[in-house]
Parts: sequence; C-alpha cells; structure tokens
Amino acid sequence: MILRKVLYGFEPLNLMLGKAPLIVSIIWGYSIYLAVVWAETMTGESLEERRPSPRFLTLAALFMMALACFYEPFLKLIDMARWQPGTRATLGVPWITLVGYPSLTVPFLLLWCRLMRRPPGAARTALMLCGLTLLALVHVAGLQGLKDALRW
Amino acid sequence: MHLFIELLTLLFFLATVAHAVWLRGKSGAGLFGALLFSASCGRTS
Repeated sequence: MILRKVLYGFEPLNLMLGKAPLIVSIIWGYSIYLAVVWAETMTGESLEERRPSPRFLTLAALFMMALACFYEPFLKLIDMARWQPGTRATLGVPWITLVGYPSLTVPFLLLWCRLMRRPPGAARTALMLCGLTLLALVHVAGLQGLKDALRW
Repeated sequence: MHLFIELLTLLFFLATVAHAVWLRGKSGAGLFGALLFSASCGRTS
C-alpha cells in the first residue's frame, strides 16, 4: 500500500485484485511477454536458451518504449492512469515512461535468465522471489528518484 | 468504457498466457508467474 500511490494512481476500476486494479497487475506481464516474442522473432534467438544477446535486449527495450507511446496517450484519453501533477509529457506520453518501461523489462529478463540457468529447486525459487521483489521495489524507488532529480 | 478496457486487457492477458504455455510449457507458465509477481510487488504492494 505504501508504493501504490508512487508515480501514478489509477481511477477505481471494476476488476480489482485486493486493493489494486487488476489491470495494473496483468498489463506488465503480457507487455513484457510480447516484447520477448517480438525480440525472438527479430533476432532468431530464443529466451529458452537463457542467454539473451545485447541485440535481443535492445530490441525488447525498444518495443517497450514503443508500447509506452501507445498505452499512455490512450490511458490519458480515457482517464484511467493519473500521473503526478506537473509530470512532463509530450503528446500524452510522460517522459519518465520511456525510461520506466524498458528499465523494468531488461533487468527482469537478465535476472530471469540468470536464475533459470541454475538447477531447479527450492533454492532457485527462493532466489527468484527475493530477486524479483528487490528488482520491483528498486525499480519503483529508482524511477521516482530519477523523476524527481530530473524534474520530469 | 473502463470495464470494456479492463475485460479486453484480461482477454489479451489470457491469450498471451495460453501462447506462452502452449509454446514453452512449464517454462512459459513460470515466466508469466515471475512477471506477475514482479509487477504485483512493484505496483500494488
């Protein structure tokens, strides 16, 4: 609940997951998955090999930036996402999203692949849960810090 | 309007999960589990 109102808030929606809108929880998942599928198609690599190349990661990052340019004006148009007052944007795309979308995607993929190269078991699962929690919290806090520092 | 968008998002989500599981099996399901967990930690915790 502490982080729920960091960066942006959402209008109360119909489908909720606990106290958060369901859409917030699921949209990241399938967006990053689409970026993976697109990068696989463009590079001929497979994420199953667990060693994404810099080209693969760059393409996934670019896909997420493009997705930000698609999602954000639309979310603003229908008044679903509400950014902090004064957030700088161009054509309805907050500048910070061009950093935020890829900066979650690339570390996530690196962490996922790194941990999936380990033998399966409880240790890997525990590392995955700790790593993902840390990544998510650092991402939100880091993004807010960057936004404040750059006055975006 | 919001409900329509939410249902559409849910539909896309289910379709991509099905794609991941169909093509990647257990690994695809695990990938989505990790993505959901990560998003839930960062955005809704």
